[in-house]
Amino acid sequence: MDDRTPVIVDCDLYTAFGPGVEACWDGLLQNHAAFSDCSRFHNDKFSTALAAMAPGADVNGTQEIPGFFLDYLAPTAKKMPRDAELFLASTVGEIEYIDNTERRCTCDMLLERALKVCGKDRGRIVSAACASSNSAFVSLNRHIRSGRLDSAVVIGTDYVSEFIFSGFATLRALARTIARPYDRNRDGLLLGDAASIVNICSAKKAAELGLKPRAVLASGGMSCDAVHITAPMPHGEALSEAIEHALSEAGLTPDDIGAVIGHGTGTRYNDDMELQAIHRVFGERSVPMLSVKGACGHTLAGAGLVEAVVGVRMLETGLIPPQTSLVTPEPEAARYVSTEIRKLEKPRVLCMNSGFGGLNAVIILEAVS
Amino acid sequence: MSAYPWHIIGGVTADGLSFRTWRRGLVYTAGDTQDAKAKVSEPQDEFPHVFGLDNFRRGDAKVRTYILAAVLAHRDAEVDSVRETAVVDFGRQGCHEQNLNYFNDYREHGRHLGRGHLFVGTLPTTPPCEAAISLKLTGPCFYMDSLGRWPVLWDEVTNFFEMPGIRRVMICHYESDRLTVLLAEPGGTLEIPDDSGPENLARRIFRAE
Repeated sequence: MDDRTPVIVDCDLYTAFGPGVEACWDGLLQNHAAFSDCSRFHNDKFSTALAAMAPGADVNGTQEIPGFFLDYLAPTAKKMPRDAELFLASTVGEIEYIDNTERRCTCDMLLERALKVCGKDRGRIVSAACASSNSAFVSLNRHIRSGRLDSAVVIGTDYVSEFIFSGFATLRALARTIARPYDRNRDGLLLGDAASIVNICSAKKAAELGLKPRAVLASGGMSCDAVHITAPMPHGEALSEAIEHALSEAGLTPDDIGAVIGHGTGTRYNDDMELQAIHRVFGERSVPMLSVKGACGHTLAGAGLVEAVVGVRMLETGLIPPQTSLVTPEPEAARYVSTEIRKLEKPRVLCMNSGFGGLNAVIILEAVS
Repeated sequence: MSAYPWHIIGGVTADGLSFRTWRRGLVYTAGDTQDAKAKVSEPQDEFPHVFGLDNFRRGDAKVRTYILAAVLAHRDAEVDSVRETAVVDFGRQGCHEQNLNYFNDYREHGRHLGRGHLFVGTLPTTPPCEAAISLKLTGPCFYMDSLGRWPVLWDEVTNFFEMPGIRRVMICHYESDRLTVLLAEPGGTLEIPDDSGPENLARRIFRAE
């Protein structure tokens, strides 16, 4: 590890399992799914009412969910210096303010709020649909390795709102029963709340601040399918390219990867595309794979951060959580997924996300040696 | 003033439906987006017209402007598009108007008549992604906003060029119905004042030539 190696020094989560990384981690290890009926809006016209809502988040109404989440994350953010750059991954920001004519409901308003609450002087939004968090990581990885930045706070947050829920319903992407990533009988995704934070800095800065690295951000890769605005590339070639870029940048081969945390939304198109991309890169190797979206839902721009935090825990514990909500694996997935807890045999976790627009973003996390 | 290891090879600014390219001074003025599409699609000079406008009608006026501006930026630079192009869209405007369009439509017509393409349009990455689809640009693509700090944009362009295989970066900036698209390639040294955005940069580079 050289001075400019990006290291993760702290992280936290608030998901449908409740506050804290361990609540989510324990839920995953126990194979629990955190879905319940969403009562934030009239749901009788939708094919499902299920979503993974963070307990306690909407006690003051949905408009206050972003503020609630930011208040929760602020103590972790404040562990980093005031001049650390805040990267905010979000798709629609504070969309519940859409009826407020005094206030725009775009991501920049949420960034301004996040800077105040988290005590930071400067920040930026990185938005790439459901690949937003990983896109922020890939960008940040290069900035730290080149010396342009030495410390950052990465926050990803999105939440279940009528705006988002109705949109996915319109696209007929919501599951009628439950989200079953990589299952033969999967029929769609379920949405979830998430607020996640990762504090990251160069190894040198971590030493200066007296912060202990928990994992290394080894590399990242991005690509765009450039095929269709909603449908993924059928055979996942562009996602494979992003994975290969990440492997190449880190000087790794597919055999060096201990597990893959997939995007795994539970839609037929996404999961098929991902499985083909994984097969193209990993060949006949049965690399262990899971998606957290069968447990805590699709958390949109926040998804990559949730997965990164889970990846950190996998590296720290040497465990791979089971695939929640899996009943009968898709034949192409059977050699990758399991309903049992498995051992992480190699100290690297590859996390990947894909989003509307054909956006793909992949990161590789590595254990601290 | 900061120095960056790349240079601008061409670009365009669209003000509503009036497009003016920066290097060659080409001007296209249209009555509507279909008219603009027809004018941009007309074979002119020796520029290879390798772009697809099959899905042009799928997007709203903003998306269509991005697609046409991306084509014209390449025409201005007299280059064909290359797959290994990264796209960064920068600005403060986000998708407020598109959010309202989608949600008002949803509330007025309900789920079954709510139109999915309006929902997809609420993502700030939809316009640059549609441009990437039209020109088959398969490099990284995302939307950024740094509350007006321009050096963040220019550093991101440098960042893209440090990624393996990236040969070109398409820089987009949209504000108040005005879109500027510039094409950058690695090499050289470009000095940019810290308060300079894409349109000012283009004016400085190409008016000086």
